[in-house]
Amino acid sequence: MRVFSPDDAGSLRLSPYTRINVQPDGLTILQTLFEQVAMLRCPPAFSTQLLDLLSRGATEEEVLALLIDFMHDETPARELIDTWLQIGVLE
Amino acid sequence: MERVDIQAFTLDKLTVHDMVAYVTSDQAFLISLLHGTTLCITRPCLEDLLHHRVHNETAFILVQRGLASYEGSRAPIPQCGRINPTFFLIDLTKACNLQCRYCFREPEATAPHMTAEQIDRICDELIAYCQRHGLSCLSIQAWGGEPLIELSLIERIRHCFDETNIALQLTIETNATLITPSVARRLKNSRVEIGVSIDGCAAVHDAQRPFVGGSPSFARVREGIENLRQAGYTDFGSITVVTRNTLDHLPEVIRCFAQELHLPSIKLNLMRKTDRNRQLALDLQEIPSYVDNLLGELRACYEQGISIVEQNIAQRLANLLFRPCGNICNAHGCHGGYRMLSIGVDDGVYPCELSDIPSYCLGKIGQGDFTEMVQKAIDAQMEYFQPRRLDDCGRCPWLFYCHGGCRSAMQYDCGDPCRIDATECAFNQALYPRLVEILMLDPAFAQYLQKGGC
Repeated sequence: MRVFSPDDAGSLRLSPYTRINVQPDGLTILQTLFEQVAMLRCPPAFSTQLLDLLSRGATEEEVLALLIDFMHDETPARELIDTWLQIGVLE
Repeated sequence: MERVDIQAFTLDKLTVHDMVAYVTSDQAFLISLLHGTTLCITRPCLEDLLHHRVHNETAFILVQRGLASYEGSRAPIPQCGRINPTFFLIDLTKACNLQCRYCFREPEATAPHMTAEQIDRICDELIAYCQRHGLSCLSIQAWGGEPLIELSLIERIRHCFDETNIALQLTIETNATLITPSVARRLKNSRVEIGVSIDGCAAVHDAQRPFVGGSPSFARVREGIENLRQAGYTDFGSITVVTRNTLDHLPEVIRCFAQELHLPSIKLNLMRKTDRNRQLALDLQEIPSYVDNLLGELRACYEQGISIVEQNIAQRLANLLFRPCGNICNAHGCHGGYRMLSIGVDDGVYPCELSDIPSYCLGKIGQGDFTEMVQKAIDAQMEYFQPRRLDDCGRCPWLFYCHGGCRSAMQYDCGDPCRIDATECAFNQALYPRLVEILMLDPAFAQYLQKGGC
């Protein structure tokens, strides 16, 4: 369980209010409080790697680096983080 | 652990909602009174909140967790109020080979049961309902009496759904005394999930769950469990009714489940009062010590490396951690009619399996869509669906999860399903603060309570 402090706000984590579905062709995350859905087309191995990182908590740079490595482009990687923060998948 | 009430306040466009905080020397566990969401924060962060100082980062996570909102932002989706039944109990028979001392049902000389044709009709209705509402999965619990008295009807339910593309979760709660090796194999073949009703070690079980005629049943239950294992069942759960007898023997009961029967999942439900055997039920003031003792016994299992999950505790921990609303009976109060329906031997449709009294009949099979039946009963202000009277709940931090508790229990207890279920209330008042404390001070034990394993 995360113990929040404004000092560790730089760390990104998966919200506990999510339901995760890893499928062969991608990752689907339902944010249960606001019923928002996040999807990412990726192989299961990448889904697992991303979820592991977000469950432990990681800096934005670490998450971004992983996404850029997969997407080969910084812009969609940054957009994905921003969107997931806005809809409460990441906190 | 100190309880601190945080009244709602507004800072510019940010509104921080009503909360209760449970505080230790270095942490505080916040619980939203509105939405049942939670957040654990550091003590300095709490001090800021109490002085209405909210950092941007704190504001952001409070909003994300539904503990605060910005002007114009959306509120978390409510968890109740949608009529969308996906869990159906089918009352196969009123006959039972046991005569439990606390049973809600009166023994009947000629116990009625369903017929194969009736099961076909009910399944046809359920399949049509799924197709109309685009449901790809459905849960059915075959219910009784003792459902295994009508095993062929359980198999028939599976057969009816096997011819469709609807994923059916088929479950029973059985006293297990009729589970021979052959019955266990038939259940496994029909992919029936099983909960075994067992009240503990022989001394307790036999005192309250004798066969009709009075002979003890524990040995037969034990045999039934063994037969299930031989047929390949590994993950069945058990359901226990906790009475005064249990209280006197709790260590033996838990030891029996954990070490003799090796049950991975148990559920200890407090006996509810009916007109029969009221003296068997715990008094409200006995519930806190029962909760203490139960947690103590589970801690002993944890320390001995024995994996066992008590589901009432696990589900309440889940409520605190991620508000899953998965449980029909203890996530945001009663879901009778809204998420579950019961179909009686008389073809009647009722809000739940314990509310099968004529005045709560919503309609008969074949008389229309299930959701329309429920809506009509709500519109007609049927007693069962009238608002709970929760005035006494005040700023109870557990109100979101409990929402007045079990309507049927209150119907049986005092004839008024809208009154607060005092047993549920006492249990929650005793258990939830302990769980918050465990979450903050002993997260490894909290994880064990939720998932088992050591």
